[in-house]
Amino acid sequence: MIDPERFWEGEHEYFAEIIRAFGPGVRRAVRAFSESEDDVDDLFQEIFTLVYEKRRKFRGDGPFAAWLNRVVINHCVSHYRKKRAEKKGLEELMARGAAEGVHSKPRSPEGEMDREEAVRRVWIGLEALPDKEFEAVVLRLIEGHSPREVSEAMGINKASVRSNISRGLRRLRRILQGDEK
Amino acid sequence: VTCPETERLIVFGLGKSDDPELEAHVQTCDDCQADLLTISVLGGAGRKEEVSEALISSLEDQIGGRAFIFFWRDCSGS
Repeated sequence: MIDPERFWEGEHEYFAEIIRAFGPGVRRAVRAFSESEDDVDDLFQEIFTLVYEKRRKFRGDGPFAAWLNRVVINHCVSHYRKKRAEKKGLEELMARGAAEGVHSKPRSPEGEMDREEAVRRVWIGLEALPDKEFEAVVLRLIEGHSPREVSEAMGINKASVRSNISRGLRRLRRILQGDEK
Repeated sequence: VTCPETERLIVFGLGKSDDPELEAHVQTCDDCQADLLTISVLGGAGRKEEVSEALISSLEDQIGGRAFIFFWRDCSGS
């Protein structure tokens, strides 16, 4: 649990504590959308700067981790779409170059691409979960809280926590298996 | 074949238990394999992420700079 007053206030030391506490989970998401360690650091900094700017939008009526992860995933997905659009433009340019005899960069091995794509799909899919499923999945899986802690943070019983997580995983599975966009 | 309860899959997927029976089931079940992938991706199984103090300090500097800009804008009314 965080202290919303101190967070809204933008107190730097408290903000650093928040980065220490929630940073590892954020880095997992960021890594899925980055191409190098430098990209991870850049995107990570971009996100926490954005979180600082948006801090007053956190209403304090739900788990902070859920609000934070919405900001993180929205930003990562839009960053990824932008990069993909740029890359597509570049690939088209390179394809034209290849057609004219310019050497193009070799593609990564297929298996590696599949795993990376699957990992990204999981994070992108998370964005589509309804609030309760999203909160339960974030708190249990990303933040690693026990089912009891999740139940306390969300103000629902453990059976509801379990069913929210199961429904969330089922939805993500359909996205992973390509049955749902 | 009955799939295990989600919580059992989570505990296994986060690397917090050995469960040979579940492991054998997962080999033959596409749904559980997909769930396990999701659990390990979100839970970060197999990779510990850390945030360096240097990165936190650099972020504090950036935020400090921005806070000053916002403060200056508020004061100047621009």
